[in-house]
Amino acid sequence: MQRFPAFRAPRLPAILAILAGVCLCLTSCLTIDESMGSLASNALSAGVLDQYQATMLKLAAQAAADAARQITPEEEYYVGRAVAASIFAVYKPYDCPELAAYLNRLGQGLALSSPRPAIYAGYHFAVLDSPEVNAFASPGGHILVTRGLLARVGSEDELAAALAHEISHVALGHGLASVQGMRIAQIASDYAIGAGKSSGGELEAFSSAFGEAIAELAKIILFSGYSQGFELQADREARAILGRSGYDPNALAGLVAKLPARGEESGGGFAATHPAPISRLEALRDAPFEPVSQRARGMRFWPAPRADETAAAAIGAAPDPVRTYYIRAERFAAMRALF
Amino acid sequence: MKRLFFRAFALTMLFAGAAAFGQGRAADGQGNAPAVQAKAVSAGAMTVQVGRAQIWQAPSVVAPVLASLAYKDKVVVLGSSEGWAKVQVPGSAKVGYMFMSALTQRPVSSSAAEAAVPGITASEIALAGKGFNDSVEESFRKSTHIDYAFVDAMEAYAFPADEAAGFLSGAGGDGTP
Repeated sequence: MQRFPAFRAPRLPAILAILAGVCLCLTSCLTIDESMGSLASNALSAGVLDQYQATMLKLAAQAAADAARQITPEEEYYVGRAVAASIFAVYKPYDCPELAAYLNRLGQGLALSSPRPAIYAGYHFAVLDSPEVNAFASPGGHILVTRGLLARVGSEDELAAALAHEISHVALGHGLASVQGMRIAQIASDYAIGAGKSSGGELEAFSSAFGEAIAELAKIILFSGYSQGFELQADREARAILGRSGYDPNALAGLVAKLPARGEESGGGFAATHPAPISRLEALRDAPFEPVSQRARGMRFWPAPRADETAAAAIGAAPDPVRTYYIRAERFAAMRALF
Repeated sequence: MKRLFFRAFALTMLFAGAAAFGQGRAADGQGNAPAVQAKAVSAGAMTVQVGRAQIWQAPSVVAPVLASLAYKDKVVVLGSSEGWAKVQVPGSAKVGYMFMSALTQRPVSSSAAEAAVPGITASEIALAGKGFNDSVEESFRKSTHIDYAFVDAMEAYAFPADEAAGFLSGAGGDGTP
């Protein structure tokens, strides 16, 4: 048997040099397949690699570039639909069209003030018929809250805070960021490197890989939760969304203070999937919050007349905030009976 | 054996690359990884990356709607500010505003799939894009028998942006669809 010719002493430093070069390329913004491909070509002409080895390197470079390519909103949507369907296999929905309409109007209104108001098929909200205190967000914008969570919500501002937190997970891409470095990148790569080169059954193979990615993502969302960093980031973003939408930014802290801590009986999966309420409150307290300017608020809804006269003339005056306050309080009281 | 080593080496490179970009995306915080940028986009031209996108007369969702664009439509962007893109309304001299997050500079699907070669199958299109799309979903649903009925039902609740914005401000207080 041939003994690892590639490990012969003179070649090892050369390969290490290529590795270092590749790492350098990865940290810069160069197109990865181009830079790695040219490295392979250079190594080939320098006699460090033979033709086969150079080809393998180029293939790997192409695969890495495919894996690194951004997941599109369309893909997020299809991954999100499958994740939502997986959650509905565990939790049954709460059948109450009136409550669903209320939640969707509120949530879709809040999403307009998120960092990503436009996603592939929009944000959608549903209630799960479970006493457990919990909420889930799929990468495609499917947001699910339990009746147990609704029972702890004391105002429309607090309900908006819960929805804004989940909207933030979607808008900030937390779902796919949690698995992208693992399964999804790997699936694309496996395919690119030639695992599916046979003439038949590629789609089946791909959809089975898709199934594995969904199972992994559903497991994270349902049981282990996002990283603490993502949770605290979603809290900060939710507070900003509340401010831009004309809700009380402090309602988030108000809600978090009512949420179950680890070990509390009614906590269900929530305590396992979210940081302790006290750490969330401390993080919110320590994070700077800039009051929302009338201009920033108006950029999504009613522009301040002085900031944009043409727009203001086309749109009309903003609703009276005092009237808004009373309408929110009244409709929330009516909806609460359905929680 | 030599080939085996290089296969392992290539795979290592591959995962190193994937992991590096995975981290980059997570650290970015916006979910907008720098990733691979499009190479052949003419100045100002962008593509709609969401199912439907509206162009408003002013940078506000309660402004009059000038046009609705579909997935993969192209639009000329004149500028952007606070999440809004100022665009040329396609086929018109008018200028309007749309959400920046509805647009991308990258091609939204594989050009190979778009070439529409006669006889190309859905499965080939899915694989050319190497993405998760409706064909993959169909195959996934067939093999797992997972029920999408509740997902479809929740997606049916879709309110126009002006209505949702108006609701926040107190319109439609009865909550009926």
